Amino acid sequence: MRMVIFWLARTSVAAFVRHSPWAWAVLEIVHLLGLSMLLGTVGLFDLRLMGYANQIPPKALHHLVPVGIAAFLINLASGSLFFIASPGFYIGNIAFEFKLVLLTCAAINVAAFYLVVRRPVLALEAGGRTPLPARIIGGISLFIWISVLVAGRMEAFFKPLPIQP
Amino acid sequence: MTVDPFFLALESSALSSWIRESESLLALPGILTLHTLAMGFLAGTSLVIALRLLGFARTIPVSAMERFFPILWLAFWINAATGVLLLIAYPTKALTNPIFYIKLAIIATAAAVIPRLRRLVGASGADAGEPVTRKTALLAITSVLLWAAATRSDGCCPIHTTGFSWSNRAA
Repeated sequence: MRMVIFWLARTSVAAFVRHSPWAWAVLEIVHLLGLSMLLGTVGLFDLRLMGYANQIPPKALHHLVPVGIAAFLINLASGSLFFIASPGFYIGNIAFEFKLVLLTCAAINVAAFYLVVRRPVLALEAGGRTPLPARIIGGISLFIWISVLVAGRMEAFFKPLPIQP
Repeated sequence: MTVDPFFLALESSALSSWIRESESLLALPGILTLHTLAMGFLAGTSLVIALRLLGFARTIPVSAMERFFPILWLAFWINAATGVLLLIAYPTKALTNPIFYIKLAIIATAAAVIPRLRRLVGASGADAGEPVTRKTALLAITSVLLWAAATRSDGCCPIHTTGFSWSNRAA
């Protein structure tokens, strides 16, 4: 694993991100815009699951989910570039490790939504009350994505100790 | 270059140095995180409103989007408050940077767009999926571009967090 990461860190893409005066800043902006897209789309759908903005049929808001998936992929790509450009910042960084755990939880929660409550929720009309499991799944999703953002922002404050020679 | 004495006084205030130097996660880390979180909801919700007004996800009733505006305003005021705290922490750095004033102008314009959008959404007859007017669409695009620009200009005057890290506190 470590060998793979070191090999990736030596690729020209990683070196470019590391040394270019603007690549890192541009990627950071892309990463921020991606998280905005994700919070705006998935976050609003989560709020509807929790009972907010009941006038909107959940199926209508669910059309925003592909935009959220696109946002997630944008952030996965830009985040991976940060990682291979500067693995020493992320390996052993507890905020980053926590973020990976949270992303795993998010994946499980998404699976729970599609397996357990998708059908009844998407059948709801305007004003329809979401069932309790959907409310819980929506709340967990919103909590996880906010926590992912918090963990990501905290990475800078939990830089790992430099490796002693 | 001479530094304004007001900036220096602000920078040497107890609150300013607490935000900059405290090891509390509620200081710089917490304020910065809250600022980013609110920014995400502000730009993200604006994007969704714009997408709908431009014809995407037509089954969302336009008038029901009035429920999105409390989210926008809450996020806006959280951003204003945390932004002021960050400014108190680093007044000289921000107030001597021309990009910071561009950012403030962008934010002021974007904030002025919110009530206009709100009125359009409230008066909209586009619930049945009929196309929105060009004026509405233009306003929606403007608001998204402005919030994106405000986010972008954040990247131009980043707050460097090199001072302190929790993991090497003991070192």
